[in-house]
Amino acid sequence: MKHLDRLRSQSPEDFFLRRQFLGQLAATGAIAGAWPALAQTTEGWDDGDPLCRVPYTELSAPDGYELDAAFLKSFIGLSQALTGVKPLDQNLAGELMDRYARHKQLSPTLKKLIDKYRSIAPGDTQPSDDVLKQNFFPDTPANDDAKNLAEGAKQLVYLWYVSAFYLVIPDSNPPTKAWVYGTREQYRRALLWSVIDAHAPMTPGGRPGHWAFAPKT
Amino acid sequence: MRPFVSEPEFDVVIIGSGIAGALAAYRLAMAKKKVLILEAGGVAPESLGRWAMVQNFIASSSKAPDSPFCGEDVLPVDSKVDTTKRPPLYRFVQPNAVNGDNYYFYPDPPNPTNPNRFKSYYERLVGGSTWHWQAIYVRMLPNDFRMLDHYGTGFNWPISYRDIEPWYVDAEYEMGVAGSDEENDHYYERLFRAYRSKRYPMPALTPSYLDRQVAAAIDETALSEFPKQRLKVNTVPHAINSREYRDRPACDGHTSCVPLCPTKARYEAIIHIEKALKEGAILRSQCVVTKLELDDKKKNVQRVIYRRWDGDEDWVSGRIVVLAANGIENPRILLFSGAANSSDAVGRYLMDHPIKQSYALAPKPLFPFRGPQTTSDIAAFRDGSFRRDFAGFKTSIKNDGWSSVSANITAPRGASIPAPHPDTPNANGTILDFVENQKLFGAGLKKTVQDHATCQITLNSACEQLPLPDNRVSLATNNLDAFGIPRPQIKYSLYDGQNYVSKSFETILKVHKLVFDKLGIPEKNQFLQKDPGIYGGSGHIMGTTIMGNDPKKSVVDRHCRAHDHPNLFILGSSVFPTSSTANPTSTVAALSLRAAERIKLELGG
Repeated sequence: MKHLDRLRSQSPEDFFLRRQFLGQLAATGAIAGAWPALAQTTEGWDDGDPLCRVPYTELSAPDGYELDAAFLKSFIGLSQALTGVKPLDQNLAGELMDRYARHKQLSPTLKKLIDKYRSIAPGDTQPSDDVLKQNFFPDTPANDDAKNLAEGAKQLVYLWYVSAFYLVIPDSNPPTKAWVYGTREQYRRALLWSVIDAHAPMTPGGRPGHWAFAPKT
Repeated sequence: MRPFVSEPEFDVVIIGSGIAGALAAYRLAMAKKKVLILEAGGVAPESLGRWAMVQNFIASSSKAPDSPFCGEDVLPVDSKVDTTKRPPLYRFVQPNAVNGDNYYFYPDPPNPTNPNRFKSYYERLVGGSTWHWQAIYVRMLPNDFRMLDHYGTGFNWPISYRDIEPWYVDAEYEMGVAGSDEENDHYYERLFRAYRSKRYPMPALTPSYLDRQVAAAIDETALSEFPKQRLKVNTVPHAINSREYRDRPACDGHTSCVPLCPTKARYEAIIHIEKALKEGAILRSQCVVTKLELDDKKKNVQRVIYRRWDGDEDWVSGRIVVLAANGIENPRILLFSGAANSSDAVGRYLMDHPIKQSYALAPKPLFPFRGPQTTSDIAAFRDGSFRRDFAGFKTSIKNDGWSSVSANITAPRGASIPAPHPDTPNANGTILDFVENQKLFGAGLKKTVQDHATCQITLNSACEQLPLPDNRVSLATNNLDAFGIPRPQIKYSLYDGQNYVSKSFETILKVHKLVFDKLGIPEKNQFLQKDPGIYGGSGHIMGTTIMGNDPKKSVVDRHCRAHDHPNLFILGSSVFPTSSTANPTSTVAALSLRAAERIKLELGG
């Protein structure tokens, strides 16, 4: 198992993102048991700070399918339908699709999500909310496949809105869910912040004093 | 351990590198005193300028040109290189410093008679990080120093506002504080006699749009039972730059003072550690002080005993010892040493600023999640005759929505899936709630996120607390930490026999409700945390080595010198006899600079 390569810092902000994750773990109490172990090691920066990263396996390629232009088009269509934001940036979509498709645990689910979307959105016509709910957000999933599809749909919403998956930390006991972030650019461009006319914490919001006025929407 | 040498190694040994220790270290090093700073923790990666890189270089056996940049996060790493090989293989994706042959491709074999290995190389690295505090920089009020005289509670300080005022100024200019002179003149001086002898170094941080909506809505209204306490919104002084100051930039609002200011617009103690080191001070990190060893007559501190993270024990000596390790570690070290405690006051009178937060959903957007996390507050209840009956408090208006509310922590993302609230569906306010509990997606999700997060407001009120002898830090003699030192044993009661805090909480909730009412927020969208079990801590650890004139009742004198040991000074908020409503750092800084001056005199010059 290796750490997500993209979380290896190429900039100060990536370091900050890991700190933020650490803060979230602290907030949930998940860190309490692990912290003393860290304190017994040498300087945290020497070997990186394992608590700042959620380790997971990233595949070299999607699990049994190709990421071509048609797949991206469907990914964008499904993403627009589930996030309510349109149009979505195609380049960011490509990055997020790649992250989702190469996540070992999630990779097969993305293929199923896209297949289902294509079946209910022939010619990329956006399905109605009722149809989307029935297929991706049912009140009570009918079986394991439906449950898996619903979980996958949530992860897609989180990926766009937060730039993170919300997953169980591997080997955590008791199983503990945490946000698993990507790159700093993805963090900064997460939809949540533009939707509320703000900026992701620890990223620039504008010129000094911009907070004195209502944002120009 | 090395044998004892009677000649002190340093003029001053400072235990702790927070703001108290940092400022004292800087001033004493500037005065050409030989200063050692001992710190239990390590060095944050990007905090100390090039400290980490120098450490890497010093630790490396090769002393290669790239040895300052070791670690996972600096140079590009070839993950295929087996790191278990010993000696280690070169693992960075760049030319090594020997001949670059890990990176450059040479089609021809080495030619010993006409050398053909190109030997120039380069490094690829990133920088920068530091610590967290909100940098709210509020002075104590004149009456705060005379609580016993004025209100019959707590203690009087052995110093007055007049004594400390020049040191407040000194610290404000040293650290860089932004505040409003006009508001001070018209509010704090007029109402509380909190005069200033010098203007703020910088104008106040710009109040937020949210602040201005609150100010307009409450319009200096008052609770009916407290007509004199008119609720006025003022800017809060901060140790955050509102313009460029001493080579640090103006704050441009990353809204992340806690956990980290990425621009260094906010003052951090590391700034004065760096300055102290430039002036010649020495820093030993990862050195956990275990004990102050006294001389045979129990008069002076003879040695400071510490343990390194690797378990080795060592010691150091100084003509003066400064204990600046915070309100838990200061008494812990003293108690473990059997020092400075003839009064039996060490560890007692532990105080915090207990917090009551309330949050609400405004009927129209306030646009939080922008700007510094707090830019304004309501200070009406910081002082008044009511303090005979209940604790004074001040109310911060938060600019970061509900993200500091424990039930909604890191809103609008959230950290865990909250329990659904069928009766109050607006109470959670995180995307985890909207998606997992409310099954929202698509346009409905977008609208809900938008409508909710832009209207979030949190009021955070922190109150003072009585100094009670039974609220105390002692030693858990049967529970040792990893270094073999008894862990701090805490006895603490939030509520006291006089209901000083609980009555304050009741008033706080009334103020919160009044503000929310004035903003036109319906009750169903007001979340007042009435449960007495819900409160927060401010991280303001006060008391435990209190200051006083009477050696039988206090630990240090008016100069922060231990009554029992002439060469021991204690700095930090542990010396506070009462807590006041002010965030303690301003007073910690002022007392540190004042004590440093006294230490300089002691040392001669």
